[in-house]
Amino acid sequence: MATIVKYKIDGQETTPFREAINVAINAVFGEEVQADLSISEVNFVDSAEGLNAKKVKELFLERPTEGHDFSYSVLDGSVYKDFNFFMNYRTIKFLADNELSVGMIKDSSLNQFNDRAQGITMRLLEYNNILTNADYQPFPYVVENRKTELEKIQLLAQAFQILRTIVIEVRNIINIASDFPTIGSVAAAANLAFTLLSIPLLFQQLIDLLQQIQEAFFPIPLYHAAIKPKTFIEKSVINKMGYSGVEFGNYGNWPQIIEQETWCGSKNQEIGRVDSFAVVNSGILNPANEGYNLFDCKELLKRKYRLREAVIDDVYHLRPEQDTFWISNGGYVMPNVLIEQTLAGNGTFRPNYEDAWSNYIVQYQTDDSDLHTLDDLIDSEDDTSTGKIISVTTVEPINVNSQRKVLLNQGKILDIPYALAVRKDEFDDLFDLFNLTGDIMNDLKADIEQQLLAYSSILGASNPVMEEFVSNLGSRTGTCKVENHFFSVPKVALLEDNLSGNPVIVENFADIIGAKALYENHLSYDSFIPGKRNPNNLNETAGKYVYEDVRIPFGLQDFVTVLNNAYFTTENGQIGKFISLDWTIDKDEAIVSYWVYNSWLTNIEENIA
Amino acid sequence: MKKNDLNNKSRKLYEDLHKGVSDLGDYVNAALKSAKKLEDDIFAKMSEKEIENHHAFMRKHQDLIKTGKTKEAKELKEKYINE
Repeated sequence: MATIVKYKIDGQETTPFREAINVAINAVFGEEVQADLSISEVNFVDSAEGLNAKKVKELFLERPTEGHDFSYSVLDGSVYKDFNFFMNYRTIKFLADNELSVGMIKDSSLNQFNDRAQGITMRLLEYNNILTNADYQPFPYVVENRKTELEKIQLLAQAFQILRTIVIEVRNIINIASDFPTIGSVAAAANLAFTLLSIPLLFQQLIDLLQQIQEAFFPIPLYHAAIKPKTFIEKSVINKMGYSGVEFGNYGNWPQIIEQETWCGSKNQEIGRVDSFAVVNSGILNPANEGYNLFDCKELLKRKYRLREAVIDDVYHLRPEQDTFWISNGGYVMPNVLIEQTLAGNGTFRPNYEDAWSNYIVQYQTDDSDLHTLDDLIDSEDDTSTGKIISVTTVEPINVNSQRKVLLNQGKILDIPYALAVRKDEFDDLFDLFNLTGDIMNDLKADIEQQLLAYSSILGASNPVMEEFVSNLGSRTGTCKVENHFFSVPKVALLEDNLSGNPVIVENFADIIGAKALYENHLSYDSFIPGKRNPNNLNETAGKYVYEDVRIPFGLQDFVTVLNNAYFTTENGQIGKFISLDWTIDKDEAIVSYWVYNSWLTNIEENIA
Repeated sequence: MKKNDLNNKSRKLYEDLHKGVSDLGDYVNAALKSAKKLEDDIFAKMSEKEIENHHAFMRKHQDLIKTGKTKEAKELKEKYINE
């Protein structure tokens, strides 16, 4: 039998607090793998043996911003375990002069992590110089406003007009040659000089127009400052919170996603920069964007990619639920709790209808200020784009006697408060033609300037120097198409460096993090169809039998085994997982709830669009 | 006009513009080269005083243009040529 052998307040051994006998530990796992071990209330009373309440009150007044340690040690035979908590002063209540109560949060636990994570924002890390410009990610984009087609044609028409005027001016030279015997040398010399003056001016106008055409047809890639959630999490957890590491685990394409996923916060004033290597603006999210604080950031990733988390040995783990790390580290073997026992009053079990669903919608947010984000919704002829922004999976019974009696009713929805970036994929021959025109214009400009040097005596010092024709467009392929520099909904994409070292959107990124891909690669973990959750084990589906209020033999060693990993195996080799566990320390048993895989939901089929 | 029609029209216009710019290069270069010969022919028929006046006129005209006095520049040009 386990017994508490030692109590400490702020590292100092003390007397037992009130109700210290029969301490019950309530471990709640829920969907997580690691137990939530918070204690809602501990009463401290001053007595002849010790001034516990006075001590806690003094500690509180000394530093109310930070909880002080409270621990007790449990001994069970040769097994010894320290339970370390810290005081949650947000719940402190003074009950009398010599009595107070305060809640406890387990030290080095997920509770502690989540509690602090809500207070860690991107701006805070920036203020602390933990996030610096080197941590931000340039996010490539080009402005393609689809309302300018008519404007483009107008620009081209103007360019033609200039071309025509140049031709007329050149023809003047021929006319002057034929006319000068009749109009006289002085007038001919003046006319020739004015014609020669007007040609470079007209060329300058043509160059200006072509520059405008460039901006309209082939906008130059610009770079907004953005941030990768991986960077924010690592900086927060290691540099701010002081944990020794972050582990993201391994399953499917998750390692690529966590390396490359980039969030570009909404922009309302900032125009991107031309240079991708010089991030000078802050890349943190707008405070209104989800993911601005650490808690929201990792919760969004958890929802999107079906991740689970734990704090184990000072390392924060944020891994896919399918990561074998979780199951392979579970070492507890559930004693044979026979069904007959449930009939004898030892708990109940039931199928998990609450997890069954009839439709599952995954959708990215669209952005009214950027019509490109609606492309996937309106382009019904593009098979490759279907399902990028919104995906709907439906489950229906295969054989139905009466539709009115079908029990699959609830829908699930994953709303992602980001707009999926729209990748600029076109690299058309018109672009090549434009670059060629730029080269011709530059050559022509150089030729004309050289020829005009010969006339410097006529033109005097007024020989105009034409501007270089701008044709340095950079690589637009792989950038994010936007309607304008500003957008109200943050954007998400996977980024990699191209051969020039410039960041570009991964070509097939929508096949990796598009709505349909999210369901097929990550969220189908919740499917009841065999093979979706685990292709290697058809018995593992979202179907489970949930056992509740089952009494099992349990001791300190068992508790230590399951504390950080709720997975277990049954005596006949099935995989199960604890949901909650109530263990009274001085009794050798616990009341537990858990589930065991059971594909009870049959006669269904799944369709995804 | 539909978006695609506009796209196609602007594409055709751009292709024509590219051809126009290409053709213009040879045309202008050839004309400027022949203009040099024309200038020599014209100056050969002018006295040194006339050439000096011509340069003075051009400088004055350009000064007026630079200072935005286009009306005065135009009047100066007409007066110079008519005289």
